[in-house]
Formats: sequence, structure tokens, C-alpha cells
Amino acid sequence: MADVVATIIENRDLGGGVWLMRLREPTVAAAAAGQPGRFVMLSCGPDLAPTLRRPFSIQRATGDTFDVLYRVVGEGTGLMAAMQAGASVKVIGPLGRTFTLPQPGEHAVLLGGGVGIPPMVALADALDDAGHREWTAFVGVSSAADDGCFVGLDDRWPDDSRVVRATMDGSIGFEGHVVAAWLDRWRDGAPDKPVRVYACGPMVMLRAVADEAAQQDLPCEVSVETMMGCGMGACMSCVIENAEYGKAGSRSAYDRWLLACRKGPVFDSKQVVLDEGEFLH
Amino acid sequence: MSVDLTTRIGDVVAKNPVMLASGTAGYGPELSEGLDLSVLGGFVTKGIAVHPWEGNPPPRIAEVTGGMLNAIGLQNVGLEAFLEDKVPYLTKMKRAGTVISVNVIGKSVEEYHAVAEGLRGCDAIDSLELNISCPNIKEGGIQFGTDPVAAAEVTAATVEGSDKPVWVKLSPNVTDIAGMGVACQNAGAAGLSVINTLYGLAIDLEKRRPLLHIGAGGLSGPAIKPVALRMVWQVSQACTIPVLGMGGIWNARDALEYLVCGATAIQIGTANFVNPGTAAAVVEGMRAWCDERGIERISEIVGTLQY
Repeated sequence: MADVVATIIENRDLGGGVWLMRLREPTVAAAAAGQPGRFVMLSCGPDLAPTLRRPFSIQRATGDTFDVLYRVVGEGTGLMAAMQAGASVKVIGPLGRTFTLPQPGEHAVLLGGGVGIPPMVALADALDDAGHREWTAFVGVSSAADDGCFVGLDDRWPDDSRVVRATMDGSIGFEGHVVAAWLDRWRDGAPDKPVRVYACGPMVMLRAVADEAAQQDLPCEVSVETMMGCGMGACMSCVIENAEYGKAGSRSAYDRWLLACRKGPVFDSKQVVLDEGEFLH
Repeated sequence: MSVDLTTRIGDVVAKNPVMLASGTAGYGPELSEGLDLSVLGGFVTKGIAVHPWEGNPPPRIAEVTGGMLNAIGLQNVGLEAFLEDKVPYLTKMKRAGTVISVNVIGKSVEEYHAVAEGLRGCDAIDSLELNISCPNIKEGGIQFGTDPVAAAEVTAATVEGSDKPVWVKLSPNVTDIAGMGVACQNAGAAGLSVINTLYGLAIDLEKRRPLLHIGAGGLSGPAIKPVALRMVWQVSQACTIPVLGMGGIWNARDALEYLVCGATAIQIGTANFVNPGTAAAVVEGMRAWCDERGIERISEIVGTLQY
């Protein structure tokens, strides 16, 4: 982990409120390469505007640059969208636990939804870069207006049958959600290999992926998004409920809630409760 | 000219007045990648209870203008795991010259006393800091911090159970903060940490719901600095024991303002989340500020507010 200042190389409007920011910072870029699932904490503006940094997963790390995909949803991301190439951004990272890479001979199934697609891009990069070509990615957005979320895959695999695009309204690719796209593809024959599942996206999608993986008895890892204050394990705000709490080896009340920044954001899907919660916003 | 930053908090001697506040840097290792911990004058741990606490469901934080609200709920590993898993790292920090203070929490006088007894003989620890003011726990905490009799009672019990100096962290959610300080001082406190978070609320207008799961929470960050500064000033005038000032310190100038208003030492909290290197910058900034003005010892400026 480094606490450094990066330079914006490009800040591109992909439409639908989705943006891609390319940052130059060699320490973070080098540390993130081949480490899919890790994230950075970015400052969105001048000091205290807003108070806290924002977490973003690293989509792609190449040479001395790395990319983050973001959707403008509030004050912080609104300020980010107004930043110009050449401006400085404070960065802490890379942070968090990475995905467990598949064993040779395993087929990796990557499922990504919306702005949850970037960690799947990082994972596909890591796999192809390591010569592990046995993977299929199922990525979905609500409609063609959100197709900017596909940018990392479009750039490297524009016409690759391993990338299956889906939209809820059918305006691009498969009509329906990513789990349906996955099952639809395999109706004609699943890979004749052990399968490992990876997912990042909205909680409801992660729940569906985890349920499907459990039903097929497949190992599954999910990257979760929680409200994060510091990203370093200090503020203890980014918790997710421990599904194994109360079982053998996890009896301390301290273990009821797990810090997504330190124990995750990548978790075994059976380890955490994939539930928005009554009061989650 | 070399500026002497040595700071005496009663019998506890720190190499400089800059400490990290409880609950903002875990048990030490959490911030170690973003800050050279050996620069620290002192370090206060996340609150420790006699048994582990699970804390509150999320959302536990909400951002507000100039600060944040938190309702972590004092999730902590408990005394036994603290001694086993956390003290070794604190011992290393102490050997590197940092004063170690353990923040103590409890739901009854007996629980505070039990933690104080459990930490007896632990050489890594220089002092205890009693959290009598965390507003996040529905049971306990708030009662001690808002009632001078209860605050004195828990202070006296902890002092009796401990072999270390006991600092008491005051709640700002009172009308007479100086009176609270005097009550704790008379009960045997060796220092006063001023202040804990202010009780606040942030809501989602469209959903008409609080942003925090449990409703209200503790406000921290630069937004509270004027309130905290006023309270440090009042408490330091009313009490003879040292005051540790905190609330929204973002840079060296903020820290120096606290010293001028009567704080012997300062603690950095929310800033650690945003800029983990803040403490190092504050130490250097203090040194430079004194150097430029020909001030030889940092202690010279403590309590020098002209009014």
C-alpha cells in the first residue's frame, strides 16, 4: 500500500453517467498488476471537499497507469467527473484481498454487473496475461445506455466469444441478468472441467450468483461493495455480516461483522451474508 | 535551532505532543503502511472491553460537511484477545519511543474496573484512557459521561483497579464540561482527553430515514473544532491536571491552536482515515512553526491564549 499523488491521464465520459479515469502512478500500478480484486481510495477534490476518500476497484493496471470506472452518483463522483487530464488525485492503494486464481485446468466463470464489472476485467487480464485462457465472462447492464461499463472488455476483447454481454432490456446481447446468461450459454454444454466462479455487482446479483454456485457445488468468490471510510481497517465502518459467525472457530462477538477492506473485498461466497439489510441504503 | 517537543502529561513523558486518537487507528498495525508510527508521541488504542463486543450493523458511517458521523458500536476484540494478540505490536511501538495508552470501555463500573485490573503489570502500557462518553452504545457509556457523579464513580473505580495513570475522555454532550473535568480530577484522573464526538444526526430526505443504521451517531472532523477548542480552553482553566485536546485536527496549525488554548498534548482522529500521514506532517509542522518564531520548547506555548 502506498499513499501517493497520481496524475490524471484521461477522464472519459462513457455516457449514462459512467466515466473512466486513467491515472499515472507507477508504485500503485506496479503493485496492482496481476492482483485482481484490489482497490484504491481516491480523493475526489481539494482537501475536505468532500471529507472522505472514495473506494474504487482497479479495472486495469498497465505499465505505470491504472484505470478506475465510476458512475456519478453523488457529490464526490460529481467532482471527479469535472476533473481534467493533468490534474492530481491523492491515492491510497492498492488495498484489499485479491481473487484466488484458478488452478491450471479449471474453467473460470466471471460475472459482473454494472460498475461491478471492473474487477472482472482485472481478473480476465490476470488470466490471459498468465496464459490461462479457460474463462468466460458474463457481464450485464440495464440497457445500452449503460454500455460504458463494458469498456474494459470492449477494449481488449471486442470480438471474443468468451465475453457474453447482457442487458435487462435486450438492447445489447442476451436479454436478462448475468446468471440467466450464464445458464443459457451452458445449456448447449458446460465446460468439461472443474469450474470456479467469480462475481462482482449489486448485492441482489451476488446473492443469485452465490445461490447458483452453491446449487452446482462450485467454489465461488464475490467482491462486495460496502460504505467505506478509510479502506485501511482503521475506521471499522465497511462491515459485512459473517455467515460463519457462531460456528466452530468463530465464536468471539468481534467476528460477527467482517471488515470488507481488510478481510475482503473478495470473500468466499459462503463466508458472508449477501443481504442488503433492512436499513442499507 | 532544534526545537524541544518533549511533552509531559503528568508522569507520562512523550517525545512530542502528537498522538493518534482512539478508534481511528485500530490497535497499531492498521495505519502502519500509511504512517511511520515511530514519529508518534503517543498512540491510543481502539476501546477495549472486558469481553468482545460485536458493534453495530451497517451503515456505520455517514459523511457530512466538514466531517463524518460514526456509530461503529465499539466493536472490539475484548481484554483476553487484546493481551494475547495486540499487546506484542504495542510493545514494539513503545520500544520505538511512543507512549501507549489503552482506551477502556464498559457497560458498568465493574466492567471498567475489570479491564483496569486485567491490564495491571502490562509494561507496554503507559496509561489508560476511559471512554465514558461514546454516544453510540444504547446501554452504558452515555450515562457516565453526562453525569458528574457517575463519571467520578467510574473514574475512582478504574483508578483503584489500575497501576497506571488514568486519563478520562470527556463527552461534549453536556452543558458544563469544566464541571465534568473537575469531577473526574477529584476522583483521581491524571489527565483529561477533550473531546469525544458530538451526538449528531444525518438523514436521507427522500427515504426520511437516518443514514446510520442505529439512528444518531458521533460527529467528528473539522466541523467540531470550534466546539472542541472552546471546551479545551474551559477545562484547562478549571483543572490542574493535563488536558489532551482533540477534535478535527487536520494540520499543524490546528494542533498548535489546541496547545495555545491549554492542551498539553493533542490527538489526531478523523484525519487518519483520509490522510494517514497527518501525524507526521503535524510533528514537522509544529517544529517548523516554533523554529520560525524562536520558540525553544513546545511546552512554552501551552495555555498562552491572550484573553
